[in-house]
Amino acid sequence: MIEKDLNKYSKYFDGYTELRQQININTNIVLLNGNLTTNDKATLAGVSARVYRNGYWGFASLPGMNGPNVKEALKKATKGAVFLSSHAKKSFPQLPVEKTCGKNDLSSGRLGEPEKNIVQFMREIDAYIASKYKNVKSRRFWFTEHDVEKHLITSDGSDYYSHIPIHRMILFLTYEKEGNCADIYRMSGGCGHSGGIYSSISEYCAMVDETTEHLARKSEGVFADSGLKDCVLSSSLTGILAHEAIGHTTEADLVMGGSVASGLLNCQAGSRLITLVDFANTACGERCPVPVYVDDEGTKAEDVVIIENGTLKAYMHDKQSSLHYGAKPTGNARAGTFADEPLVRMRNTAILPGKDKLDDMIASIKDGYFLMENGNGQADLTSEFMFAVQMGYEIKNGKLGRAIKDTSVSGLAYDVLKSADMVSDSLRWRHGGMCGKVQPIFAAVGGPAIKCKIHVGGR
Amino acid sequence: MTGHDIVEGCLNCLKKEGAQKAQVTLTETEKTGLAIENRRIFLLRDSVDLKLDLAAISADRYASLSLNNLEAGGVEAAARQTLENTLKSPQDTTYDIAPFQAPENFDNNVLSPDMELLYRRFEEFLLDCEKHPSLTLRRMTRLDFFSEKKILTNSNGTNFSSRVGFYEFNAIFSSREGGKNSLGYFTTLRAKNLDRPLVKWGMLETLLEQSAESINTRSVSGKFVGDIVVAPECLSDFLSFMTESALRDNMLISGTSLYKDSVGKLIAGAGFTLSSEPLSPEMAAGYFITPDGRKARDLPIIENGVLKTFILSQYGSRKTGLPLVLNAGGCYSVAPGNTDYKALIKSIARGLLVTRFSGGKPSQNGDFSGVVKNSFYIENGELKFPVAETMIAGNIPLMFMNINGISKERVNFGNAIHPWISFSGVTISGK
Repeated sequence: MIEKDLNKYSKYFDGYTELRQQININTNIVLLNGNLTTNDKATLAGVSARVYRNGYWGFASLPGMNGPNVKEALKKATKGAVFLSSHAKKSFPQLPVEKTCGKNDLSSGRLGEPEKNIVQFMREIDAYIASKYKNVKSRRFWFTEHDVEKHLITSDGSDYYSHIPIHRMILFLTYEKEGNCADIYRMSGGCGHSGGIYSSISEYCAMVDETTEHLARKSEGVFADSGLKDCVLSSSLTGILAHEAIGHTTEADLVMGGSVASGLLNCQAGSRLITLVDFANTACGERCPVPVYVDDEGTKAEDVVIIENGTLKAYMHDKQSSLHYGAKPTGNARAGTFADEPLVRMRNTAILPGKDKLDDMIASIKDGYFLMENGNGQADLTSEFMFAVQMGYEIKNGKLGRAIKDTSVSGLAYDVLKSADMVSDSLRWRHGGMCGKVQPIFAAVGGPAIKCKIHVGGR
Repeated sequence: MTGHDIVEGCLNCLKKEGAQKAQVTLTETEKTGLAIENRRIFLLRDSVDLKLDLAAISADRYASLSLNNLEAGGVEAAARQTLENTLKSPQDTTYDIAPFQAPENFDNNVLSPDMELLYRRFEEFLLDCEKHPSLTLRRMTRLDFFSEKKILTNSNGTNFSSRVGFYEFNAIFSSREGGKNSLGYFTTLRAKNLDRPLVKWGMLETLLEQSAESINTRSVSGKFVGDIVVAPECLSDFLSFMTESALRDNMLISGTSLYKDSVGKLIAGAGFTLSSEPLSPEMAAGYFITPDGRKARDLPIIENGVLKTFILSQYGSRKTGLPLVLNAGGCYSVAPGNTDYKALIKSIARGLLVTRFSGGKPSQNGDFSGVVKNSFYIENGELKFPVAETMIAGNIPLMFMNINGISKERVNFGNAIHPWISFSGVTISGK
């Protein structure tokens, strides 16, 4: 159990200190062609302390949350900071003071009991696919629920409790017909416990029907023609471009690590149609998929407008990077589990919608592609990226043509954004995505569709 | 209470709650280390954890659960919850646990970190980096010591314990000069001791040099079908189509693996031999016990191009009727070839030396595409220039059938040992 009063331990603080108790309950269920291959629940509960001294940090974590472990974590973290600062040739100033108190409980009051309903839900959908689509040879459902409860206090006086569950379902399908095969995965989910969200079988079946139709076309699809092409990127690809290829280059710890954005503040970073924001918890009046209200350093989480009308305006900060850049901490310091120290992480990163209609965007292309669903993706700090594309269509003379097989797109993200000349009028989030910067953590991506020039791989 | 008391007590709780078959594993871990920011050691971290894994089968229904809080009543509650969760599972006679095996204790004899030496090696690395003035080290560059103690018991009477320890070095860096950056370099290396300077681990010295060279890149012009030499650093990006997908449970259970009928058949060039060697003294990060609760064995997977076995779990084996292996994969070793690395490069008329690959997950038939990074254009047997914005596409099964050569030299990453391999028939496209 997380303790309500952590301040009783503050007498053991020595200098700037963060103390965090955290419980992560992760449920994992996998159904493969009707076989339940994973039915697992894992609880990670523990305490961590981080201490700052003259520019050097000590961090320690222990399982369990009893008093002796809390004191031991504080002792070890303090010892680590003292050890490093005693070896130091240079000392650094104090961190900026941030004090935030509060509570955000987005749970349904339970500590995750989704298994029975979810297994039943999966089995019903699985039976539907097996009976209706004989060419679907592999059906795999992967459900996860991450139920995260934490309590943080800092020597600055922050005292914050949160309980925020996030769930997702990924459906992997493989289609085979007359020697042609194609596969795809679709991801859904959101913030909160999963109860009730997967109750609508018919709604999920409609998504399955649509996906299988695309798969059948993809199995007879053609290889994309490689080269620099005019493309419409759906919100799924726009979102991953915003996160992987732009967002990471503007995380201040990575700017310090030599990212391309280090020389770009107040310079052109996209066309004037592009505004890119890392939302803390609320966008366009609605709660974001991964709401962060107070970060794991006790800083109130604020939206960061990274690119505004094509100009790079700001980086995302933790306390240490804000000290380096003389900026204000933005509430981007996040830790995945009790055993992780906070790092600069994105929360909900999206390009804002424009005024164009998707149909008009497609109609404006003579020879190019409509890229609809991304697979995995990576990017470098130069903003050079690669994203897999698992669903897409040719565009010929303004009309959608044949489906394309798996391909990938690459390029320099800032150049791609500079080439954007149309932006659609609706923002869509892609739920359930995780960011893998050292510690896996939920991070949402979203955006409108954009029309741009991008390098398509192929044969 | 000892670790053995905890697992025995937990096993008894599971049986009391109604488990007909059960397995319990207690894993205690500690990770201690240092991290760098802006060419200075700025963080000392010490992370202790434990995990109690419970697995139960009751009336052919299965569930697993894990927890790390063993405070009063926690284990009993976990056993109860595990059995409750089995009720949500469909019945399946495939679920099972390992049979009785004679008790054993395993140890790689690397027990605790030498923190003073760890600090000195890291400082020495920072000094070595000063020879590369354009180098930028990222904040996640860290050197840790990792230790793991494991105790496993099951209701068939199997009792194993193991201890494994190793040092792990994550180096993340790029180079910057005149406002221009190289791409990022990421390497993870593991070793049983700190006998050697960190720059001597893996390919690190070469990568540090290449990082500076790669500030000024060019795109390959046009599109052609050529050869690629895949460096040890990124060979797993191509091997993983076999080792993590096509030879594994999911694709064999669903029947979508293109190798499903290929045991005993040629699936790679005749010189290609692949094995999983968790027990090899060369593998710093090996293992002794499989997650199924069996004593691990080294496993020949492909010998001289011929597929010898799949890498199936107990569940996968029983579900497909294919042979079980006493190995959980990982620790892959590719046998050395008979060609010098330099001769491999020299034999290529036009192609690439690929040191990093960023690609989409290959499709079920092995088609892939992606962008090469930290890589060099080869023409007439010579490395010409570092490339940018250059993509490759091909089919992985065909690549392995079209191996031109395998280097004598290999690189040990501590959890894999790889040579350089030259493949033909890959589509290369630049701007």
